[in-house]
Amino acid sequence: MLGRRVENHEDGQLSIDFVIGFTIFMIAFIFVATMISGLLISLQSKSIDYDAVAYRTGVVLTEDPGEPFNWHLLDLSTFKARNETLKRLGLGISRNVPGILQESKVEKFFSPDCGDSTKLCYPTDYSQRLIFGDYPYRFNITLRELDETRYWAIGDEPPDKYGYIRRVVMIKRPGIALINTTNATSNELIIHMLLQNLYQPPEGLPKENPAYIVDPIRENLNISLRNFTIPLTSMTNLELYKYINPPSSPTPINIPVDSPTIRIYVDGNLKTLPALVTNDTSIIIEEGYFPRETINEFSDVEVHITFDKPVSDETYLGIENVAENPPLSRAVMEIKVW
Amino acid sequence: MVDDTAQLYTIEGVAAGFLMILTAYFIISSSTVITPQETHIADLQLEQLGSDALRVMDTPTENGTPGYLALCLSNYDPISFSDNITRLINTKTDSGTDRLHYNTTIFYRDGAAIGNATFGGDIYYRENAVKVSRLVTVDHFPPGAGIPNRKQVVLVEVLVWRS
Repeated sequence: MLGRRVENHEDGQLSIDFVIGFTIFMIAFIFVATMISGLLISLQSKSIDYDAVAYRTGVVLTEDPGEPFNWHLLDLSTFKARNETLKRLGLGISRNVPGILQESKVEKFFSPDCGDSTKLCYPTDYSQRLIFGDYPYRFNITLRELDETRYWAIGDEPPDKYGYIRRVVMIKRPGIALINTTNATSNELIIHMLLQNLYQPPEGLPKENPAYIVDPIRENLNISLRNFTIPLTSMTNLELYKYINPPSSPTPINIPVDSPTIRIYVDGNLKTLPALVTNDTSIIIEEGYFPRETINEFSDVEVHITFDKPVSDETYLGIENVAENPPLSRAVMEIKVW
Repeated sequence: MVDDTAQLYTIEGVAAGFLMILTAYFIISSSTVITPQETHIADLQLEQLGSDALRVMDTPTENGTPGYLALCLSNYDPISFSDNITRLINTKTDSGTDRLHYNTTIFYRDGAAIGNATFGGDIYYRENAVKVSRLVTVDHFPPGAGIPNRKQVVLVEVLVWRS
């Protein structure tokens, strides 16, 4: 062996055949790799799939109200509601106005708690009712209002690579009825809710856009009381009446202890009656309370609020005249799937 | 005569094999191959974001009021339009911002012809952009805008690209 190496002075050199062969191989390799790259990537990478799943999730969340459309009112503690009735989690208010989210759904969607049977459970409910598919996708969904500081998030910390989509949306907030009290003649404040006045436009006008409807059936309604001029005024009683078939006598409506019900807040604190009121007093008719008491869009309801001092001049307060929605707010939603 | 000229010895064979594998590894790992499908997804994201932004600007925040897009057009105010659309397409939910740019053109009917006017935005140099558009009803245009001053429907066309 040693003798042969001494004779051949090409030891340690690459032969010309090898260099030519290697060059041809590399050129062929580059050609093949370029031509079938699409095929290779579709076999080896899942990034395209993730982007598509993120896009689909974004469409379901922002353009679809979910199935059923009022899923946020479902009592998820019952087996039937959670496993059969609830089919899809969309945040939109209506299919006809895509891109406008309902704040009530947003709040419910972003506050999961597996320990609370009335709330959604992360990640099971989200995987089965939103992301879909057999593959166990993981996700991170965030929502931020542009002009406010509110921020919602759900999901795990994303890795370096993930499927992504960003959507610009608007959020519809619950209605507010601003009522200024007066120190006139009556201790009782009566708010008349002929609900079809909120949902149906007056004769001859086009149907109201759902984005601007005050909707006490599917959203909270905040009756905000202001301008109490007599100090130490107390709210002593709160009753609701329903006119079954006008002009029959009104029937009292039950106000249950557990949600959805009617709650009274003074300076942001939950109160029970009787309660001293201030100029920051709110009566919240919670979303789902009206359906619970079989009140629908055609019902005729009266809210009677009694105080120990004069607060009104007994004028008729129609809910359609005092209630309005806050302006729609703009927000950005990001969906990451991996 | 049979000798070992042009033959690979063991050490050269191993070295050559190693070189080939290393080269192949470098080529595969360092090149990002953009396939038609991936380009489509990136385009789709931009297109979705652009049309979302136009829709949000065209939706009135309160019932009975004009949308912001119609307001910007009827006042012929490209600066307010720019502030709004830049914020809408670039804001992310975390504190960071994106690097999206836009360029807007308005198309309107001028007699029998279709006129167009640039409505602000960044200068477009052949970047990979997508086009989104929306028809907007405008009550009037100010005299200086160079667009016929009447109630009309105009086409707002926005090019969106990432730098």
